[in-house]
Amino acid sequence: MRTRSLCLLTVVGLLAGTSLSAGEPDPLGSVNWEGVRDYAFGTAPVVFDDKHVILDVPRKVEDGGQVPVAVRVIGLGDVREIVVLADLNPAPRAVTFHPLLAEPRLAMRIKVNEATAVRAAALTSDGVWHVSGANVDAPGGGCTTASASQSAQSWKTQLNRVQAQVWHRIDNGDRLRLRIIHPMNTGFVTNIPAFFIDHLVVKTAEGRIVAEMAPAEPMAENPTITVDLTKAGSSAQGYVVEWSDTDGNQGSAKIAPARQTLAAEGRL
Amino acid sequence: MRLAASLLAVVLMLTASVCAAAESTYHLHPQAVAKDTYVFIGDTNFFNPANGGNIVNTGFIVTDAGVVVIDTGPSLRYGQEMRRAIAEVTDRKVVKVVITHSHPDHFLGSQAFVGEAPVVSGAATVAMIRDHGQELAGNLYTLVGDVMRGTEPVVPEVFDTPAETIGGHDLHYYFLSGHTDSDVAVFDRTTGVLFTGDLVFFRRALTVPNANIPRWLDSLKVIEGIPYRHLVPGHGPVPSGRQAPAETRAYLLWIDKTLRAAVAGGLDITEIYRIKIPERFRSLAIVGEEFQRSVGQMVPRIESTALPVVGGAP
Repeated sequence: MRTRSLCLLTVVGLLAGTSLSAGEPDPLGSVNWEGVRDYAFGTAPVVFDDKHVILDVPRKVEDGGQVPVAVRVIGLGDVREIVVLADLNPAPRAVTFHPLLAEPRLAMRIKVNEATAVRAAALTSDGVWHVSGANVDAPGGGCTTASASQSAQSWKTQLNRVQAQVWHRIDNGDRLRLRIIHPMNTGFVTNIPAFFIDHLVVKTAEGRIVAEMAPAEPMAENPTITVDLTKAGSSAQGYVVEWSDTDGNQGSAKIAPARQTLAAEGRL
Repeated sequence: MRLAASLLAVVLMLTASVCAAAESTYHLHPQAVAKDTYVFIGDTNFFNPANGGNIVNTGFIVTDAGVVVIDTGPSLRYGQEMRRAIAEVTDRKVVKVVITHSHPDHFLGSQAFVGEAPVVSGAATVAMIRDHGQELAGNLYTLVGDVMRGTEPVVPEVFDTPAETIGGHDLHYYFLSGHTDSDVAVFDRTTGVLFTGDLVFFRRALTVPNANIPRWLDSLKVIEGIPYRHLVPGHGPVPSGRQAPAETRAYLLWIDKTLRAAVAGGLDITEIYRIKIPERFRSLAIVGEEFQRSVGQMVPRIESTALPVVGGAP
């Protein structure tokens, strides 16, 4: 009797599984993959592709509020968009990046709320999402504890401060590193409303938009972002960064042109 | 009759579990380093359930007036087992417990000494344990698990006595900093033993979550000026010579210089993780793992001042 009902349950489970999960099974075995896939990619085709989408993230972190992530897409031709996701975050999407005249790669730090699959996905011109990822072990609370500056209230005097520098990549375009003081409150902490930078563009000093991104709740406090521009997207006159947040604050800053060459280990 | 039998069974089970609790988890064996002076040498790995958080060196000095304890380990259970191990060496009472600094592997065994002796430390350590002791205990619970059961932080009393004689031992306290905001070193002039806390690591990669490197380097100078004969580092074996502070300094200088140069050179933290550790540091215990942790802790701090301000609030 017991055995029979167990068998029956298994059959029902298999049927239910089949009907729900069109597409490849998740190599990371994340319980939330199907939900995240539908949320991030809708009905677009998705392939798991860790050969072309290289995700660099520590397998274990002590601070779930500052998890370094680097994405590098190689050999896929024109990449329209890159997204970074953390399956088990209350809001999984950390950033949407439009490389435009940047290389299809991006580095930053994100928040993870618990141990989770972290994913990078690249949209190619044929409309296919190429996804890779890794399981990251983390303590709880990266998205649901107050940011350090929120606790210290220090952001109020420093909000809007932009730090940035540009380097020449040998035989290539420029590298831009950027840090903006912002608490990046997720809205998942009691009595602290959502307040985060949700739009950022990089322009050349001449006014040409070379990269654009939409950060979201999981982008870490004081976003620290690394972008490599193509030769065509680089400018000897320098750059302008412009950003706005969910409260409608706007900021912009001029960045001097590169004077130094990137250190040798640079291979984002 | 049956009721009596089941009651007896319950009593037996309870006795068994009490006995089990009294068994040793940490297998602490006091190692004599000098006359009257003993240390418990911990594992050189990172916190894990197998070592129960015992990655630390603690110690005690047996004086005519009682026992002085230096650091109490990572858990209530460690503190209790340490107290029993001390009792096997001497039946004298513990008269003072000195906590070197506020890292959880050094102070969370203090409960085992409450009521017997005052627990004391530097002002910044006391403030840190008072304000963040529960978080520090909680973190360690996550890392090592059930052996932490019942562990609660004990907030030490602030002390600033530079020197005192206890039971014929001439004790000097150095209130230093750099590994954390307050690091107390204990020097027993009578035996020549210096307990450095985590200002000195030996043959084990050092940790920097709360480090101030210029102040740490200053503290190492002070330590090298102390006429010690034996040095007990916070982590790693007891060295036979005077080379341990220099080893700590060499690694500190290397990591600080390397990470600053990497940020100045435009590298992202994910690239800095891949920097190769020089041959001369590769024999340090878990240097690969600790380098990764240190990069994660130090690089954001370096970036916050090294990247030039180009706009917005100054």
